[in-house]
Amino acid sequence: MKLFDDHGRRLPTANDRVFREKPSFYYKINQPNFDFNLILERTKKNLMVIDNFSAADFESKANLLLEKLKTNEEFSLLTNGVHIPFIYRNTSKGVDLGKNLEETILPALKKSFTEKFPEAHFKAVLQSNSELQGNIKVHPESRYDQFLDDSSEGVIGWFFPQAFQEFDIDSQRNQMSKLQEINDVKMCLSGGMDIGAAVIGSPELLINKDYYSPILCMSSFVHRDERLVLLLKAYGPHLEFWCMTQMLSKTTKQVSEQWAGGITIFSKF
Amino acid sequence: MYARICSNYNTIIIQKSWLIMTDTLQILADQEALSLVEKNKRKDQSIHRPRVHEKIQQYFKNMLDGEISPILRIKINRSLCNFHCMHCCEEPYMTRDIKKETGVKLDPRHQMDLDDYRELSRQADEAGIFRFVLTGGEALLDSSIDQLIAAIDPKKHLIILDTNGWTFDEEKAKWFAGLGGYKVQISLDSMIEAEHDEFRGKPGSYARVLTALKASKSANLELLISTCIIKDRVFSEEFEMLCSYCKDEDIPLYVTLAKPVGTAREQDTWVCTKKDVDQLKYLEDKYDIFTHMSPSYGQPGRCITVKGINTVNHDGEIVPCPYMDLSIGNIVKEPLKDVLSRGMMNSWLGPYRDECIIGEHMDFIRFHNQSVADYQKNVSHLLPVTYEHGFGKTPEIDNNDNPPSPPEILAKDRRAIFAIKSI
Repeated sequence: MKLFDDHGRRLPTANDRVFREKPSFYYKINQPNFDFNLILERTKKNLMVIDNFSAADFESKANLLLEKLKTNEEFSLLTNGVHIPFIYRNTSKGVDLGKNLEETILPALKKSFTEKFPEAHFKAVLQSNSELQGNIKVHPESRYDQFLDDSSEGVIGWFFPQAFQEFDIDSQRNQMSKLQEINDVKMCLSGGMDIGAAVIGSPELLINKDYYSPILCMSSFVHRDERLVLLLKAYGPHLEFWCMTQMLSKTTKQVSEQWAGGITIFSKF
Repeated sequence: MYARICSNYNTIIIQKSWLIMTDTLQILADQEALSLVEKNKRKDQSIHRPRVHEKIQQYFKNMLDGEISPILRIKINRSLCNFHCMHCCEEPYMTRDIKKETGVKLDPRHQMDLDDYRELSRQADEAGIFRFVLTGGEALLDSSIDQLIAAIDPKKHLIILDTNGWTFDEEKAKWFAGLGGYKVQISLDSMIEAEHDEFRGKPGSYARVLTALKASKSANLELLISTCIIKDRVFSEEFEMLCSYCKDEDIPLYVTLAKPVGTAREQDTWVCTKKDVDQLKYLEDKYDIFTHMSPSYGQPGRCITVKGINTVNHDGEIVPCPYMDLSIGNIVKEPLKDVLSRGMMNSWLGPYRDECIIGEHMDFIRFHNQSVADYQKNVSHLLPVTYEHGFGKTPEIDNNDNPPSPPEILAKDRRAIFAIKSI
């Protein structure tokens, strides 16, 4: 059965709420070149210390992981979509997810982004009466717990930011229970740490002079106030993190051409 | 973990852990992006216009439920104007154009009367709306504008006047302030006098704008300069001069993008690109400038259709953006709330999108202009295109029926807070 279209976007299934069946891809991300050296360097500098891991190791392990996906009949089309390698070790195992975002991921994003684009700003805005700390949990269907477990030892992975382009947040989350697990490749709905690590390594990901880029939803993360969602978005040449409402009205949730959920595949170092 | 500094209006939270992490940490609570000056203005509202203040607070409280509180922009006096601007999107609504195009001697359109505007004000108040812009054409050409302001009720709503400044001298500024007017937005399309006058088709208008700016300040009115950009203007020395002038004069600069509608419908080369819009976003960090898509009122920068600004046409048709010619319903025939709800459920208008669809999105521009052409050819020359002939032909978004409930603790203590974290 075909699970993805030729652009690597998940084909909507029954009960999925999507902006449209076939996305327009008006919101684009250019496939970045893979400079494993630079990604590793940025990650080491801004996010974590990995002394004994070389760019060659990173590249070979990442390529091996991607190859496994390419050879899987049902998932190979996913690799037609934009994909970004990343490396991440969660040095704060057991630390609250919101605190980790606030104290580690977002500051590292700012450093990496403003080093690449010194004229631009990185801003984090919280819409609500709430802090991130103590308010974020993992969605039970997202398989993100596995990512968190493995990342305490360190993971390399690939982030597919447009796998759920134009799906509403609930449908992104429900999708993970519809996708079967595959041998040798661990997979989850993208969340704060993996998206953060991917953009720290490739800070230009959402910046495009010609096109608007999708908004990256960290849909594995569920805020205690379920009206709120966590997003990473470009604001022109700038990068912004938002914790904002997904409500379009009191009874209707957002379903947007621009909002995109991602799939992350990963393996331990 | 937190130090809270509370006053009766603002709450400032300083989160100590962030102070440890970085030198520049500040977490400001309350409405996002409000400067202290702006906060003081809001504080003034609580004294001078308590109902406006109450509605602003209510808006922030209910925003997480998707509640909107758009500006209503009322076009008055059948868009009568004393100018002939090159970029005018209003020309097709003017009696002079209708007479010219159709040969009629009398403008056949229905005109809302004062009772209609009173009812609109009541419904807007009930819906938590607190801002009205009076525009034209040139709003000040309406001889009964004082009655209109009274009908809208400046105690319940902030009344903002959109003007080309031609007649807005000290006397007129004091008159407007005396009526309860809140703010004036004055159009200035170039810092080069000859360029502005040529663009506006009115010699002497540049000098009158400078007089109007001075008069507004003297009358203690809130003030902004409104300027229209065409492709590449943001990269010009002249635009930088305008930004600097506004900074020196402490006047916010509101930038609108020329749209391929109205008299500019054939001017495709004027359409701004993402490059222009990105440059504006750089300049927002350097100057007090903003567009209709700049982050404000706790919302990220995004297209403002329905959510941000709606135009009320003379006949009650609601157009979900200042620059479109397609209606989402008529408030003389149905409740305002129903019209806005319909707009929010339209796939072009409600869902989140970053870009200005009428200024940048060529698919939308084509749909829009084709709808206008078809309507004028087959149905009526009179704009806007009614809902069934325009947006009514585009998809609505699917509803869903499992809205989340706010957590218990937040429901009890739902002060609105927008924290900006400067990391």
